[in-house]
Amino acid sequence: MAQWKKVILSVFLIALALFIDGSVVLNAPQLLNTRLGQIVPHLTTIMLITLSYYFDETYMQLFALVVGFIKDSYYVGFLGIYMVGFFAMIYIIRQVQSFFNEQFIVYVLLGILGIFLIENFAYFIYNMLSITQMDWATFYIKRLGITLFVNSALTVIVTFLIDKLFLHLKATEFKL
Amino acid sequence: MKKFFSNKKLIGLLITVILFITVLSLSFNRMGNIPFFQTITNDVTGVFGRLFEAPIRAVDGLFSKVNNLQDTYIENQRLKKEIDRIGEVQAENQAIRQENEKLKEELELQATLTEYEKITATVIARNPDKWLDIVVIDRGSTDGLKVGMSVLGGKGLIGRITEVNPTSSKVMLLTHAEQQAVQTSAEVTTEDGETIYGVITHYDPQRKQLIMDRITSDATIEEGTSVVSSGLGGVVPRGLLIGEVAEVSMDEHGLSQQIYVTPTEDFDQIRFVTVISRNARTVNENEFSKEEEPNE
Repeated sequence: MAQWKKVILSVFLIALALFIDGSVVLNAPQLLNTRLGQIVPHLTTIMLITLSYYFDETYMQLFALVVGFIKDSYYVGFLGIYMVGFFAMIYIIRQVQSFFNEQFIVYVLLGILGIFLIENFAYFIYNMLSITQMDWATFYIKRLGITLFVNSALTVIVTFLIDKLFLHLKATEFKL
Repeated sequence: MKKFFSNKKLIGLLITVILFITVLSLSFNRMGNIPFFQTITNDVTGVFGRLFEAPIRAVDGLFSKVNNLQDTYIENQRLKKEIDRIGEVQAENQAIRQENEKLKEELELQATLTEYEKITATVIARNPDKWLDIVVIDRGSTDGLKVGMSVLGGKGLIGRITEVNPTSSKVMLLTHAEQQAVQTSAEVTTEDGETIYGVITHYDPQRKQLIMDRITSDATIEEGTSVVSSGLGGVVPRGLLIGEVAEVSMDEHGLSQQIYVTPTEDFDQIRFVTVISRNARTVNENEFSKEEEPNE
Protein backbone atom coordinates (compact mmCIF):
# COMPACT_ATOMS: atom_id res chain seq x y z
CA MET A 1 0.00 0.00 0.00
CA ALA A 2 1.33 3.44 -0.88
CA GLN A 3 2.69 5.20 2.18
CA TRP A 4 0.75 8.44 1.60
CA LYS A 5 -2.52 6.53 1.46
CA LYS A 6 -1.71 4.95 4.82
CA VAL A 7 -0.93 8.40 6.22
CA ILE A 8 -4.24 9.85 5.00
CA LEU A 9 -6.10 6.87 6.42
CA SER A 10 -4.36 7.28 9.81
CA VAL A 11 -5.21 11.01 9.90
CA PHE A 12 -8.85 10.28 9.07
CA LEU A 13 -9.13 7.55 11.73
CA ILE A 14 -7.53 9.71 14.43
CA ALA A 15 -9.72 12.72 13.57
CA LEU A 16 -12.77 10.47 13.77
CA ALA A 17 -11.68 9.12 17.17
CA LEU A 18 -10.96 12.61 18.49
CA PHE A 19 -14.44 13.88 17.58
CA ILE A 20 -16.18 10.71 18.80
CA ASP A 21 -14.51 11.13 22.23
CA GLY A 22 -15.84 14.69 22.53
CA SER A 23 -19.21 13.82 21.07
CA VAL A 24 -19.93 10.88 23.41
CA VAL A 25 -19.33 13.10 26.46
CA LEU A 26 -21.61 15.77 25.00
CA ASN A 27 -24.44 13.61 23.67
CA ALA A 28 -24.53 10.57 25.92
CA PRO A 29 -23.37 11.63 29.40
CA GLN A 30 -25.77 9.15 31.02
CA LEU A 31 -23.71 6.29 29.55
CA LEU A 32 -20.52 7.58 31.13
CA ASN A 33 -21.73 8.57 34.62
CA THR A 34 -22.36 5.12 36.04
CA ARG A 35 -23.02 3.90 39.56
CA LEU A 36 -19.53 2.38 39.58
CA GLY A 37 -17.86 5.64 38.61
CA GLN A 38 -16.92 7.97 35.79
CA ILE A 39 -16.03 6.41 32.44
CA VAL A 40 -13.64 8.41 30.28
CA PRO A 41 -13.69 7.62 26.55
CA HIS A 42 -10.17 6.92 25.25
CA LEU A 43 -10.81 6.11 21.59
CA THR A 44 -8.07 8.54 20.49
CA THR A 45 -5.53 6.85 22.77
CA ILE A 46 -6.56 3.38 21.58
CA MET A 47 -6.43 4.44 17.93
CA LEU A 48 -2.96 5.97 18.36
CA ILE A 49 -1.61 2.81 20.00
CA THR A 50 -3.21 0.51 17.43
CA LEU A 51 -1.94 2.56 14.49
CA SER A 52 1.57 2.64 15.99
CA TYR A 53 1.94 -1.09 15.14
CA TYR A 54 1.58 -0.31 11.42
CA PHE A 55 3.79 2.78 11.14
CA ASP A 56 7.38 3.83 11.67
CA GLU A 57 8.18 4.77 15.30
CA THR A 58 9.46 8.30 14.53
CA TYR A 59 6.42 9.09 12.39
CA MET A 60 4.07 7.84 15.13
CA GLN A 61 5.81 9.87 17.83
CA LEU A 62 5.51 13.06 15.76
CA PHE A 63 1.93 12.15 14.91
CA ALA A 64 1.16 11.61 18.61
CA LEU A 65 2.68 15.01 19.40
CA VAL A 66 0.42 16.72 16.83
CA VAL A 67 -2.70 14.84 17.96
CA GLY A 68 -1.86 15.71 21.58
CA PHE A 69 -1.46 19.37 20.61
CA ILE A 70 -4.90 19.41 18.93
CA LYS A 71 -6.52 17.65 21.90
CA ASP A 72 -4.90 20.07 24.37
CA SER A 73 -5.73 23.13 22.32
CA TYR A 74 -9.30 22.24 21.30
CA TYR A 75 -10.61 20.51 24.42
CA VAL A 76 -8.42 21.49 27.40
CA GLY A 77 -7.39 25.08 26.68
CA PHE A 78 -3.72 24.87 27.64
CA LEU A 79 -0.89 22.88 26.07
CA GLY A 80 1.28 20.11 27.41
CA ILE A 81 -0.69 17.28 29.00
CA TYR A 82 -1.71 15.21 25.99
CA MET A 83 1.11 16.51 23.76
CA VAL A 84 3.75 15.00 26.02
CA GLY A 85 1.46 12.25 27.32
CA PHE A 86 0.76 10.77 23.88
CA PHE A 87 4.38 11.24 22.76
CA ALA A 88 5.77 9.43 25.82
CA MET A 89 3.07 6.77 25.67
CA ILE A 90 3.93 5.81 22.08
CA TYR A 91 7.63 5.70 22.96
CA ILE A 92 7.03 3.41 25.97
CA ILE A 93 4.58 1.17 24.09
CA ARG A 94 7.04 0.66 21.23
CA GLN A 95 9.88 -0.10 23.65
CA VAL A 96 7.80 -2.65 25.55
CA GLN A 97 6.45 -4.14 22.30
CA SER A 98 9.98 -5.07 21.20
CA PHE A 99 10.13 -7.65 24.04
CA PHE A 100 7.05 -9.53 22.84
CA ASN A 101 5.85 -11.41 19.78
CA GLU A 102 3.44 -9.78 17.34
CA GLN A 103 0.26 -11.31 18.71
CA PHE A 104 -3.26 -9.99 18.99
CA ILE A 105 -3.37 -10.48 22.78
CA VAL A 106 -0.07 -8.57 23.16
CA TYR A 107 -1.48 -5.65 21.16
CA VAL A 108 -4.60 -5.57 23.34
CA LEU A 109 -2.58 -5.68 26.57
CA LEU A 110 -0.31 -2.90 25.32
CA GLY A 111 -3.41 -0.84 24.50
CA ILE A 112 -4.65 -1.25 28.08
CA LEU A 113 -1.18 -0.30 29.36
CA GLY A 114 -1.30 2.87 27.22
CA ILE A 115 -4.67 3.93 28.66
CA PHE A 116 -3.38 3.24 32.19
CA LEU A 117 -0.30 5.41 31.54
CA ILE A 118 -2.16 8.33 29.96
CA GLU A 119 -4.89 8.40 32.65
CA ASN A 120 -2.31 8.37 35.46
CA PHE A 121 -0.18 11.00 33.77
CA ALA A 122 -3.17 13.32 33.17
CA TYR A 123 -4.35 12.86 36.77
CA PHE A 124 -0.86 13.57 38.12
CA ILE A 125 -0.57 16.83 36.14
CA TYR A 126 -4.12 18.03 36.92
CA ASN A 127 -3.50 17.25 40.58
CA MET A 128 -0.19 19.13 40.48
CA LEU A 129 -1.94 22.16 38.95
CA SER A 130 -4.64 21.94 41.69
CA ILE A 131 -7.34 21.53 39.05
CA THR A 132 -8.57 18.44 40.86
CA GLN A 133 -8.48 17.69 44.57
CA MET A 134 -9.39 14.03 44.10
CA ASP A 135 -7.11 11.71 46.07
CA TRP A 136 -5.31 8.74 44.48
CA ALA A 137 -7.56 6.14 46.11
CA THR A 138 -10.76 7.80 44.83
CA PHE A 139 -9.17 8.21 41.41
CA TYR A 140 -8.35 4.50 41.20
CA ILE A 141 -11.70 3.32 42.55
CA LYS A 142 -14.12 5.83 41.07
CA ARG A 143 -12.50 6.55 37.74
CA LEU A 144 -9.56 4.44 36.59
CA GLY A 145 -11.08 1.02 37.31
CA ILE A 146 -14.26 1.42 35.30
CA THR A 147 -12.47 3.47 32.61
CA LEU A 148 -9.91 0.70 32.07
CA PHE A 149 -12.60 -1.96 32.03
CA VAL A 150 -14.76 -0.27 29.37
CA ASN A 151 -11.80 0.89 27.29
CA SER A 152 -10.28 -2.61 27.38
CA ALA A 153 -13.37 -3.92 25.61
CA LEU A 154 -13.07 -1.04 23.15
CA THR A 155 -9.37 -1.88 22.62
CA VAL A 156 -10.23 -5.46 21.65
CA ILE A 157 -12.77 -4.24 19.08
CA VAL A 158 -10.59 -1.45 17.65
CA THR A 159 -7.45 -3.62 17.46
CA PHE A 160 -9.40 -6.36 15.68
CA LEU A 161 -11.07 -3.98 13.20
CA ILE A 162 -7.90 -2.02 12.41
CA ASP A 163 -5.99 -5.28 11.90
CA LYS A 164 -8.68 -6.53 9.49
CA LEU A 165 -8.77 -3.18 7.69
CA PHE A 166 -5.01 -3.04 7.13
CA LEU A 167 -4.90 -6.70 6.07
CA HIS A 168 -7.70 -6.06 3.59
CA LEU A 169 -6.06 -2.92 2.23
CA LYS A 170 -2.74 -4.72 1.90
CA ALA A 171 -4.39 -7.58 0.03
CA THR A 172 -6.21 -5.30 -2.38
CA GLU A 173 -3.30 -2.83 -2.57
CA PHE A 174 -5.80 -0.08 -1.79
CA LYS A 175 -7.63 -0.60 -5.09
CA LEU A 176 -10.91 0.79 -3.76
CA MET B 1 30.45 13.10 33.58
CA LYS B 2 31.52 12.64 29.97
CA LYS B 3 29.80 9.25 29.86
CA PHE B 4 26.67 10.68 31.44
CA PHE B 5 26.16 13.24 28.66
CA SER B 6 27.00 10.78 25.93
CA ASN B 7 23.77 9.00 26.74
CA LYS B 8 21.47 10.36 24.03
CA LYS B 9 18.32 8.93 25.54
CA LEU B 10 18.93 10.58 28.90
CA ILE B 11 19.63 13.94 27.28
CA GLY B 12 16.48 13.53 25.18
CA LEU B 13 14.46 12.79 28.31
CA LEU B 14 15.84 15.81 30.14
CA ILE B 15 15.14 18.13 27.21
CA THR B 16 11.60 16.71 26.89
CA VAL B 17 10.91 17.25 30.61
CA ILE B 18 12.25 20.82 30.50
CA LEU B 19 10.24 21.62 27.34
CA PHE B 20 7.14 20.04 28.84
CA ILE B 21 7.32 22.09 32.04
CA THR B 22 8.02 25.28 30.07
CA VAL B 23 5.14 24.76 27.62
CA LEU B 24 2.76 23.74 30.40
CA SER B 25 3.54 26.67 32.68
CA LEU B 26 3.56 29.27 29.88
CA SER B 27 0.33 27.93 28.41
CA PHE B 28 -1.41 27.55 31.79
CA ASN B 29 -0.53 31.10 32.83
CA ARG B 30 -1.73 32.50 29.50
CA MET B 31 -4.98 30.52 29.57
CA GLY B 32 -7.60 32.58 27.70
CA ASN B 33 -4.94 34.63 25.93
CA ILE B 34 -3.74 32.07 23.42
CA PRO B 35 -1.20 32.53 20.58
CA PHE B 36 -2.21 32.83 16.92
CA PHE B 37 -1.30 29.27 15.86
CA GLN B 38 -3.48 27.86 18.65
CA THR B 39 -6.39 30.09 17.62
CA ILE B 40 -6.13 28.80 14.05
CA THR B 41 -5.94 25.17 15.28
CA ASN B 42 -9.04 25.64 17.44
CA ASP B 43 -11.07 27.24 14.68
CA VAL B 44 -10.11 24.70 12.02
CA THR B 45 -10.83 21.82 14.44
CA GLY B 46 -14.09 23.57 15.33
CA VAL B 47 -15.20 23.57 11.68
CA PHE B 48 -14.67 19.80 11.43
CA GLY B 49 -16.25 19.35 14.85
CA ARG B 50 -19.39 21.13 13.65
CA LEU B 51 -19.52 18.95 10.52
CA PHE B 52 -19.18 15.84 12.68
CA GLU B 53 -21.84 16.99 15.14
CA ALA B 54 -24.40 17.97 12.47
CA PRO B 55 -25.75 14.44 11.69
CA ILE B 56 -25.69 13.46 15.39
CA ARG B 57 -27.68 16.58 16.24
CA ALA B 58 -30.15 15.82 13.43
CA VAL B 59 -30.76 12.26 14.72
CA ASP B 60 -30.98 13.51 18.30
CA GLY B 61 -33.46 16.18 17.18
CA LEU B 62 -35.62 13.54 15.54
CA PHE B 63 -35.79 11.49 18.77
CA SER B 64 -36.54 14.65 20.76
CA LYS B 65 -39.39 15.48 18.40
CA VAL B 66 -40.92 12.03 18.89
CA ASN B 67 -40.57 12.36 22.67
CA ASN B 68 -42.10 15.83 22.57
CA LEU B 69 -45.02 14.54 20.51
CA GLN B 70 -45.85 12.03 23.25
CA ASP B 71 -46.09 14.84 25.82
CA THR B 72 -48.01 17.24 23.58
CA TYR B 73 -51.49 16.82 25.11
CA ILE B 74 -50.41 17.37 28.75
CA GLU B 75 -48.18 20.24 27.73
CA ASN B 76 -51.00 21.82 25.73
CA GLN B 77 -53.33 21.80 28.75
CA ARG B 78 -50.67 23.40 30.93
CA LEU B 79 -49.85 26.06 28.34
CA LYS B 80 -53.52 27.01 27.92
CA LYS B 81 -53.69 27.80 31.62
CA GLU B 82 -50.47 29.80 31.43
CA ILE B 83 -51.72 31.80 28.41
CA ASP B 84 -54.66 33.01 30.49
CA ARG B 85 -52.21 34.51 32.96
CA ILE B 86 -49.73 35.85 30.42
CA GLY B 87 -51.73 38.93 29.36
CA GLU B 88 -51.98 40.10 32.93
CA VAL B 89 -48.24 39.62 33.53
CA GLN B 90 -47.34 41.37 30.26
CA ALA B 91 -49.40 44.44 31.14
CA GLU B 92 -47.79 44.57 34.57
CA ASN B 93 -44.30 44.17 33.06
CA GLN B 94 -44.95 46.96 30.55
CA ALA B 95 -45.99 49.35 33.30
CA ILE B 96 -42.97 48.45 35.44
CA ARG B 97 -40.60 48.81 32.46
CA GLN B 98 -41.92 52.27 31.63
CA GLU B 99 -41.68 53.33 35.24
CA ASN B 100 -38.13 51.97 35.39
CA GLU B 101 -37.09 53.89 32.25
CA LYS B 102 -38.48 57.14 33.65
CA LEU B 103 -36.71 56.68 36.95
CA LYS B 104 -33.44 55.95 35.12
CA GLU B 105 -33.82 59.09 33.04
CA GLU B 106 -34.40 61.12 36.17
CA LEU B 107 -31.32 59.60 37.80
CA GLU B 108 -29.36 59.95 34.53
CA LEU B 109 -28.29 56.31 34.74
CA GLN B 110 -26.48 54.97 31.67
CA ALA B 111 -26.65 51.25 32.49
CA THR B 112 -27.42 49.25 35.58
CA LEU B 113 -26.06 45.96 36.84
CA THR B 114 -29.17 44.15 35.61
CA GLU B 115 -28.85 45.19 31.95
CA TYR B 116 -27.25 42.90 29.43
CA GLU B 117 -27.33 41.70 25.84
CA LYS B 118 -27.79 38.08 24.78
CA ILE B 119 -25.96 36.03 22.16
CA THR B 120 -27.21 32.48 21.61
CA ALA B 121 -24.80 29.65 20.77
CA THR B 122 -24.70 25.89 20.24
CA VAL B 123 -22.36 23.55 22.11
CA ILE B 124 -20.19 21.69 19.57
CA ALA B 125 -17.86 19.71 21.84
CA ARG B 126 -17.06 18.86 25.44
CA ASN B 127 -13.72 18.02 27.02
CA PRO B 128 -13.72 14.21 27.16
CA ASP B 129 -11.27 13.80 30.06
CA LYS B 130 -13.71 15.55 32.45
CA TRP B 131 -10.92 16.87 34.71
CA LEU B 132 -11.67 20.35 33.40
CA ASP B 133 -15.37 20.73 32.67
CA ILE B 134 -15.14 22.77 29.49
CA VAL B 135 -17.55 23.02 26.58
CA VAL B 136 -16.78 24.49 23.15
CA ILE B 137 -19.43 26.76 21.59
CA ASP B 138 -19.86 27.88 17.98
CA ARG B 139 -19.55 31.65 18.60
CA GLY B 140 -16.39 33.67 18.90
CA SER B 141 -14.85 37.12 18.81
CA THR B 142 -16.50 37.87 15.44
CA ASP B 143 -19.86 37.59 17.24
CA GLY B 144 -18.70 39.96 19.98
CA LEU B 145 -17.73 37.40 22.60
CA LYS B 146 -15.06 38.27 25.16
CA VAL B 147 -13.27 36.37 27.92
CA GLY B 148 -15.16 36.59 31.21
CA MET B 149 -18.69 36.87 29.79
CA SER B 150 -21.35 34.91 31.65
CA VAL B 151 -23.06 31.95 30.03
CA LEU B 152 -26.61 30.77 30.70
CA GLY B 153 -28.12 27.37 29.98
CA GLY B 154 -31.87 27.09 29.45
CA LYS B 155 -32.71 28.19 32.99
CA GLY B 156 -29.76 29.72 34.76
CA LEU B 157 -26.07 30.55 35.00
CA ILE B 158 -23.76 27.70 33.98
CA GLY B 159 -20.31 29.24 33.63
CA ARG B 160 -18.08 31.78 32.03
CA ILE B 161 -16.14 32.25 28.78
CA THR B 162 -12.47 31.41 29.37
CA GLU B 163 -11.11 31.48 25.82
CA VAL B 164 -12.23 33.21 22.65
CA ASN B 165 -11.24 32.34 19.08
CA PRO B 166 -12.67 34.07 15.99
CA THR B 167 -15.44 31.49 15.42
CA SER B 168 -15.47 29.37 18.57
CA SER B 169 -15.06 29.82 22.33
CA LYS B 170 -14.54 27.77 25.46
CA VAL B 171 -16.87 27.91 28.43
CA MET B 172 -15.69 26.73 31.85
CA LEU B 173 -18.67 25.42 33.78
CA LEU B 174 -19.57 26.28 37.38
CA THR B 175 -18.73 22.67 38.29
CA HIS B 176 -15.19 24.07 38.44
CA ALA B 177 -16.19 26.78 40.90
CA GLU B 178 -12.90 26.36 42.80
CA GLN B 179 -11.21 27.85 39.74
CA GLN B 180 -11.01 31.62 40.12
CA ALA B 181 -12.12 32.08 36.50
CA VAL B 182 -15.67 30.96 37.31
CA GLN B 183 -16.17 32.11 40.91
CA THR B 184 -19.35 34.16 41.03
CA SER B 185 -20.63 36.65 43.57
CA ALA B 186 -24.17 35.69 44.53
CA GLU B 187 -27.01 36.92 46.71
CA VAL B 188 -29.99 35.47 48.53
CA THR B 189 -32.94 37.53 49.69
CA THR B 190 -34.54 36.28 52.92
CA GLU B 191 -38.24 36.39 53.74
CA ASP B 192 -37.55 39.49 55.87
CA GLY B 193 -36.22 41.25 52.79
CA GLU B 194 -32.61 41.14 53.93
CA THR B 195 -30.12 40.52 51.11
CA ILE B 196 -27.27 38.17 51.96
CA TYR B 197 -24.14 38.27 49.84
CA GLY B 198 -21.63 35.51 49.25
CA VAL B 199 -19.48 33.84 46.61
CA ILE B 200 -20.00 30.55 44.76
CA THR B 201 -16.61 28.97 45.42
CA HIS B 202 -17.00 25.19 45.17
CA TYR B 203 -18.93 22.38 43.55
CA ASP B 204 -19.63 19.16 45.40
CA PRO B 205 -19.71 16.40 42.73
CA GLN B 206 -21.19 13.81 45.15
CA ARG B 207 -24.15 16.02 46.06
CA LYS B 208 -24.19 17.70 42.64
CA GLN B 209 -24.54 21.04 44.41
CA LEU B 210 -22.70 24.35 44.38
CA ILE B 211 -21.35 25.78 47.62
CA MET B 212 -21.82 29.47 48.44
CA ASP B 213 -19.59 30.78 51.21
CA ARG B 214 -17.91 33.97 52.46
CA ILE B 215 -21.30 34.86 53.90
CA THR B 216 -21.05 37.68 56.38
CA SER B 217 -24.62 37.59 57.70
CA ASP B 218 -25.98 35.13 60.27
CA ALA B 219 -29.60 35.66 59.19
CA THR B 220 -31.87 32.63 58.82
CA ILE B 221 -32.05 31.43 55.22
CA GLU B 222 -34.96 29.25 54.18
CA GLU B 223 -34.47 26.20 51.98
CA GLY B 224 -35.87 26.69 48.49
CA THR B 225 -34.97 30.39 48.33
CA SER B 226 -33.56 31.47 44.95
CA VAL B 227 -29.85 32.23 44.64
CA VAL B 228 -29.01 34.82 41.98
CA SER B 229 -25.87 36.61 40.84
CA SER B 230 -25.28 39.86 42.72
CA GLY B 231 -23.41 41.70 39.97
CA LEU B 232 -20.78 42.80 42.50
CA GLY B 233 -17.92 40.81 41.00
CA GLY B 234 -17.75 43.33 38.16
CA VAL B 235 -18.30 40.89 35.28
CA VAL B 236 -21.54 38.96 35.81
CA PRO B 237 -24.77 41.02 35.56
CA ARG B 238 -27.10 41.10 38.55
CA GLY B 239 -30.14 38.83 38.78
CA LEU B 240 -29.05 35.75 36.83
CA LEU B 241 -30.57 32.68 38.45
CA ILE B 242 -27.96 30.23 39.78
CA GLY B 243 -30.11 27.81 41.77
CA GLU B 244 -31.98 27.43 45.00
CA VAL B 245 -30.93 26.91 48.59
CA ALA B 246 -30.76 23.18 49.45
CA GLU B 247 -29.12 23.32 52.87
CA VAL B 248 -27.56 25.87 55.17
CA SER B 249 -24.71 24.79 57.43
CA MET B 250 -21.62 26.17 59.13
CA ASP B 251 -18.34 26.07 57.21
CA GLU B 252 -15.50 23.70 58.18
CA HIS B 253 -14.04 26.26 60.62
CA GLY B 254 -17.44 26.87 62.22
CA LEU B 255 -17.06 30.63 61.74
CA SER B 256 -19.61 31.50 59.07
CA GLN B 257 -22.53 29.99 57.22
CA GLN B 258 -22.24 28.18 53.94
CA ILE B 259 -25.10 27.40 51.60
CA TYR B 260 -25.50 24.32 49.43
CA VAL B 261 -27.16 25.44 46.22
CA THR B 262 -28.97 23.08 43.86
CA PRO B 263 -28.20 24.44 40.38
CA THR B 264 -31.12 25.14 38.07
CA GLU B 265 -29.21 23.51 35.24
CA ASP B 266 -28.29 19.88 34.72
CA PHE B 267 -24.62 20.30 33.82
CA ASP B 268 -24.65 17.00 31.91
CA GLN B 269 -27.31 18.18 29.46
CA ILE B 270 -25.99 21.39 27.98
CA ARG B 271 -26.66 21.71 24.24
CA PHE B 272 -27.60 25.36 23.70
CA VAL B 273 -26.36 28.34 25.67
CA THR B 274 -26.88 32.09 25.89
CA VAL B 275 -23.87 34.33 26.34
CA ILE B 276 -24.49 37.45 28.39
CA SER B 277 -22.74 40.71 27.68
CA ARG B 278 -23.08 43.10 30.61
CA ASN B 279 -23.92 46.69 29.65
CA ALA B 280 -22.71 48.34 32.86
CA ARG B 281 -19.10 49.47 32.61
CA THR B 282 -16.64 47.67 34.85
CA VAL B 283 -14.26 49.94 36.75
CA ASN B 284 -10.83 48.39 36.96
CA GLU B 285 -8.42 48.86 39.86
CA ASN B 286 -6.33 51.59 38.17
CA GLU B 287 -9.36 53.69 37.27
CA PHE B 288 -10.72 53.24 40.79
CA SER B 289 -7.50 54.40 42.44
CA LYS B 290 -7.39 57.45 40.12
CA GLU B 291 -10.91 58.40 41.11
CA GLU B 292 -10.02 58.02 44.77
CA GLU B 293 -6.99 60.35 44.55
CA PRO B 294 -7.70 63.81 46.00
CA ASN B 295 -7.51 66.77 43.60
CA GLU B 296 -4.42 68.86 44.12
